[in-house]
Amino acid sequence: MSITVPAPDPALAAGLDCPLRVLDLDGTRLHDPLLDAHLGDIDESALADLYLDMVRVRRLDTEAFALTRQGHLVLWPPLLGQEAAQVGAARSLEQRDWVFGSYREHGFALLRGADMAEFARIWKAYAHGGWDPHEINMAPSQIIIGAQSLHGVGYAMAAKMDGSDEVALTAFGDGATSEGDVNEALVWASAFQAPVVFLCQNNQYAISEPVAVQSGGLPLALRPTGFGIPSMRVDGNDVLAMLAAGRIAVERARSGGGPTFIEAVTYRRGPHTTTDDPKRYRDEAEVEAWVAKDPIDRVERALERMGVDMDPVRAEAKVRADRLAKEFRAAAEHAEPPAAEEIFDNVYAQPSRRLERQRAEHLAFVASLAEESK
Amino acid sequence: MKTFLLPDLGEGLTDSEIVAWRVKEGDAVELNQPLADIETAKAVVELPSPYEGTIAKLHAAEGETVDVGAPLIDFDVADDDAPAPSGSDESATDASAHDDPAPSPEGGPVATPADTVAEVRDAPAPEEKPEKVSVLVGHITVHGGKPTRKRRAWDVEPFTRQERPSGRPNRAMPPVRKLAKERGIDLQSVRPSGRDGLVTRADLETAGTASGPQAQPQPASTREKVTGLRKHTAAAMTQSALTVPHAATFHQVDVTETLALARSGDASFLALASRAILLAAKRWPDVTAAFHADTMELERFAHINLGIAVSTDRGLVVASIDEAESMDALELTAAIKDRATRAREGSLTMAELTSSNITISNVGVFGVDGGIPILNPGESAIIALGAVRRMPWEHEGEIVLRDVCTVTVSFDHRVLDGREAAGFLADIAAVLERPALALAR
Ligand SMILES: Cc1ncc(C[n+]2csc(CCOP(=O)(O)OP(=O)(O)O)c2C)c(N)n1
Ligand SMILES: [Mg+2]
Repeated sequence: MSITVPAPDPALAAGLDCPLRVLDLDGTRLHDPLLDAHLGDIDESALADLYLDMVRVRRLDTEAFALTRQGHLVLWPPLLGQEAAQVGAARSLEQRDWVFGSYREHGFALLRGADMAEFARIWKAYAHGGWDPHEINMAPSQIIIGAQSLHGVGYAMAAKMDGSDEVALTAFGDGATSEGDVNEALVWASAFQAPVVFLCQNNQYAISEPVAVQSGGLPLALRPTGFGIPSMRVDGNDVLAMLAAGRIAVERARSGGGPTFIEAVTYRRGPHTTTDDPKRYRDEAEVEAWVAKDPIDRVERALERMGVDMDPVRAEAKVRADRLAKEFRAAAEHAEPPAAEEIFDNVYAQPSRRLERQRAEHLAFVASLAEESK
Repeated sequence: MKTFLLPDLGEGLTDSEIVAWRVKEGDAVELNQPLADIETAKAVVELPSPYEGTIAKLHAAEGETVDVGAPLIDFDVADDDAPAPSGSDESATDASAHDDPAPSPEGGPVATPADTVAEVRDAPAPEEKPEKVSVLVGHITVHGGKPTRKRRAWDVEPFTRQERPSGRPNRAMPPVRKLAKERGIDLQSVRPSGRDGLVTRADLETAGTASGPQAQPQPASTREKVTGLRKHTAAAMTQSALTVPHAATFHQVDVTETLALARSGDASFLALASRAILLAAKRWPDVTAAFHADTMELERFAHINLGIAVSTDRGLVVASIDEAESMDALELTAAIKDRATRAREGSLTMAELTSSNITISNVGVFGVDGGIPILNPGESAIIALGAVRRMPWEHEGEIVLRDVCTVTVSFDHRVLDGREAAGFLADIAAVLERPALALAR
């Protein structure tokens, strides 16, 4: 038996390849009235800062990938190719806003200020959450596809009830849009006009399934309109377009305008995780085509066009990226496994009597083993 | 020195195969430089170097399967005993770090603004011929018209997913499952008579045992994964067969005198045949040349490195006897024996496995008269020696029983034409027929 999903009607899929863009592949600054209105403050030095951010994010990603192959980490979901989508969106937030992301949000974690030693412990399977969410206003990585969209909407609804002007951004993948959680989150966000930004990084694959399998051939950005949520399709490899789109969405949320959905059209150039072999389900040529749309190269060209001398900028980026890689490597290599009783921590905000009893029982059991072996 | 143990490169793997080394012992390597391609049960992955230093020892050969946790590479690392970096900021002591102007997390302005105005063009780029998509606040509308976007793989091909065959698999209670297992009966091959399609104890009785002919139908075929040497041989032979225009020529040779010589002395028949081949190769030097299609060059070698094809338990290998033309038959006898032994032990060096420029394959040991061998990649000729048979043969005007052997030469037709190949073969045959001729050559 086989199930056939028909090829999408090309007429309906129109626009699929022309998401909003203000930086062309060759670095030309394109004019877009909607986005330009939110980029007035972006001069050469601000663009160079975004460049530095992306280089550091990429370096963190590639170093962690290598560390996994070298046995220091156990798993890594690479974000190679998605740097602009994350950096642009992350830089549109204030530190008081909250981020609810998936397992691939390393760019957000870095830019929000996650402790790299804590971060490394997650991917060494030594920590469940890693960083302290309240320190950087970013919830722990969510492995359950799409669940974080509900957490984000819940947080945003609470912020609204509290009368605060905090905004929640929830980041998820193309595959996540097929989950009930994300669809429920859209309903609630719409019904309560929650101050939330839905950031869908459409990296074209949910593990091995190409997006067309679940999109019906239509842009994912069409979906939220069915929930009454306005939506933007943005070139996810254009950091400026992502920054502007993020700012538009955050501004709407903060000013009581309710939720906004951003589909960042990008590409996952690496495997799904370090245990995946993408050659089994996609063509190398397809990957090559996306290398040509590299988000970092594009900004380098844009800066050059603006007359910026790139040599010192590249040198600076290298120094910062090298330092980050070194710090992260040291953390990964020297992380120590947690004590088993840590499993009882962080179950409830206030420890319960039952849990305390179980912890005591566990410690007594461990101590009895030491007695026996004497 | 630091020893790097093979890590688990997937989730919960127990071993991995070394597909290819990208470095050799003595090489200086940088941190994260690719060292090897390693195949796990899940993927072929690149291994980035865990250290900066020198490769002291590679513990496994290409094609070998290594257990997770076993030593893979020894490194000589400069600051071996230096304390490991602390993970704090002090660890950033690279040479370039001191001219780093203590950047704030946000980063100071580093770009030098020039007083040029950025080029501005209307979005989006013309190359992509966009459909108009209106955005934000409300709905995205997709206007008609002919889209000119690039087609993607999944646009062209409808997506088809193979599903498992429909129908419920047979089920049974645990004790019945246990009994079926003990008797070697596949539950799915039994017709269930119980409620809700449950297989019962009685059903197993009627199904008999696995040893009964009807119990477990022999599968029509089975598949196993091709790994190790078999895989490399497959790749090498495919490449050779598909890229080199092969041609072959054969000749029946009366080897009675050569065989008598082998029986009367300490030189083996194969070594004497090798001598004949080496003498002929000297007269036809292009038989050891290499054809480089990428640069359109013919590479000729100063020496003849004679490859001996050895069949081992793990598969076929070609072991080289370098500069074989300078050896006499006794030295060749010893060298052939040495290569064959070490090939079976798996202790040949990478150089010995790759340096030959002509190969001899003694298919006669399998009792056959000959065959058309495929060239060892990169070489221009391979000689197959068939079994030596006593057969009626014309000798000095009479029909007598002689020892006869078929010799075959396969050759790269880009390098050699029939004239050279035949001349080469005729010269081999002449010496095998009259070994004394070797004195004159
Ligand atoms: C609820 C749930 N179902 C299935 C999985 C297994 N799973 C892990 S990653 C993944 C694909 C997610 O794809 P996408 O949302 O596009 O995110 P990406 O990995 O591309 O960033 C799936 C199905 C899961 N983790 N959680
Ligand atoms: Mg995806």
